[in-house]
Amino acid sequence: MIPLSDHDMLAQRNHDEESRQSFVNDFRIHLASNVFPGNFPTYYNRVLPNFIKEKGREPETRHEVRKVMTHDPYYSFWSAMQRNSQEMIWDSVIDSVERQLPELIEKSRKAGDKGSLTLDPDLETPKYHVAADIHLQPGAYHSDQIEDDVAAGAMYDWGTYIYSMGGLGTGNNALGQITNGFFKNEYPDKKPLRILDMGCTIGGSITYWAQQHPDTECYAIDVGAPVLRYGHARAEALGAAVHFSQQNAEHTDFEDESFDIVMSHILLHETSRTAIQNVFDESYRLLKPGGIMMHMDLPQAHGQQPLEGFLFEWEIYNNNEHFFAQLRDMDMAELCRKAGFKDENIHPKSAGSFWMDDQTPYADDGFEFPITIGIK
Amino acid sequence: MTQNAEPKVTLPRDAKGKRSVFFDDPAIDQIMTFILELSAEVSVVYDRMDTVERLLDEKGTISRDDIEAYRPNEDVEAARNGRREAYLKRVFRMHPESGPKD
Ligand SMILES: C[S@@+](CC[C@H](N)C(=O)[O-])C[C@H]1O[C@@H](n2cnc3c(N)ncnc32)[C@H](O)[C@@H]1O
Repeated sequence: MIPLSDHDMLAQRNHDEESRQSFVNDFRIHLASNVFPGNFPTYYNRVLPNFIKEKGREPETRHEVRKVMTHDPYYSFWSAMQRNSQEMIWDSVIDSVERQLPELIEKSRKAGDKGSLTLDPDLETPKYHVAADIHLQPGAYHSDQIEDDVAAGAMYDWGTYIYSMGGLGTGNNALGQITNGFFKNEYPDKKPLRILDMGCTIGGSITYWAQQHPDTECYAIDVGAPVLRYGHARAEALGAAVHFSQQNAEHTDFEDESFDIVMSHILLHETSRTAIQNVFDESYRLLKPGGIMMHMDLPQAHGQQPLEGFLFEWEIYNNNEHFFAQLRDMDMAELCRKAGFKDENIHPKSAGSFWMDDQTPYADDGFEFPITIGIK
Repeated sequence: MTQNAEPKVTLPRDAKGKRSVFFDDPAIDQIMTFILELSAEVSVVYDRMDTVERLLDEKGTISRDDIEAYRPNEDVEAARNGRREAYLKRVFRMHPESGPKD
């Protein structure tokens, strides 16, 4: 695999760790390009005819498809391998992080001060994050194993890159590139002075924005301390000024009407139904009049065929993405309305790698993320 | 090399949450993990051997440090990618669906 661009906080891999990560990366590419597609003939030639024979009709929902596909041997093998590949991602990054942890912590303590880091040890980790380790990262985003821990962030940097099979780009910032490109195209005249990224993790996206908009004050919040410590040190290592703080996006301590943009990148699907409404309410409160809310997340169920919808939900059932289930059917416009946005200022949009500035190996794929826009 | 030194902190290795069951016999789920992790290790050994061979070609004699310090350049990584792709196709050859069963 093409390695991530080096920066001072990146865990260095020894010879075999590099090779093991490359294997997992290539294994996931193999699954995606050679094994996953076999689910379609399996369904149409075997599972569907059996279903019709039994019920006299085709499945009407993705849930009906799930009931029958999960017993098919081909699907089961693909699914079992996909699950293992996810576990193997973390397995292949933990060793190097564990070995270098003391040095990484030391570096993060000495991080620069272009931006800042404010932690709140009393902040409660939301229930939706302690129920299970989301996408199987052992310890998830929030667990500290040692004082000033940065391990969760260091693992996330390499882990998500391998997860995306390089799709996040060697700067691990594809999502930020997409929202930034989208924003510039959609609102060419807006010059945001102060922006907030909610659920920033290691700040991959907001750090990219900060690099692109050096005159904009960039803020980023997350509930996880180890990812924030890492994210802050990473941003400083990249020479970007971002103000990180440990806060729950449902209720922050920022002032009313203090931001030009409030955004998130794949945060919503990892929170609860109530939390999503709270995040929208909070976004509204924080926006200046004319300010833009921009929440980018994973595709919803409407418009997807039953088989497609079922396959798309694999991570809900097998990758501890349980909270994604409810987002699939939620009415985003209604959430915006309840938060206070006027009908004419609510815009369901979408954006994909088309908007990226650099051309990563996967930049031409057609996948689009829905973006919920509300203008105050 | 600090590779085998005892780490100061032990990080958790297992993700919290119920693991999905994919097969009627859970033993198959367990064996899948063994096979997949083993295939990763075979691939790592292969890359290591490839490193040794390349270094020997280049220098005639090598040390462990040479191996540890070695990182594939773009051409070498492309060759290794190709090797892994063929390897994966061979080892994980799926039985194709041939049509409805009666
Ligand atoms: C998938 S990650 C987001 C990736 C990141 N935005 C990026 O662009 O790379 C989801 C993040 O949301 C954070 N999170 C979840 N619920 C939150 C909440 N209520 N407030 C703040 N952060 C939250 C998690 O801790 C996690 O770091």
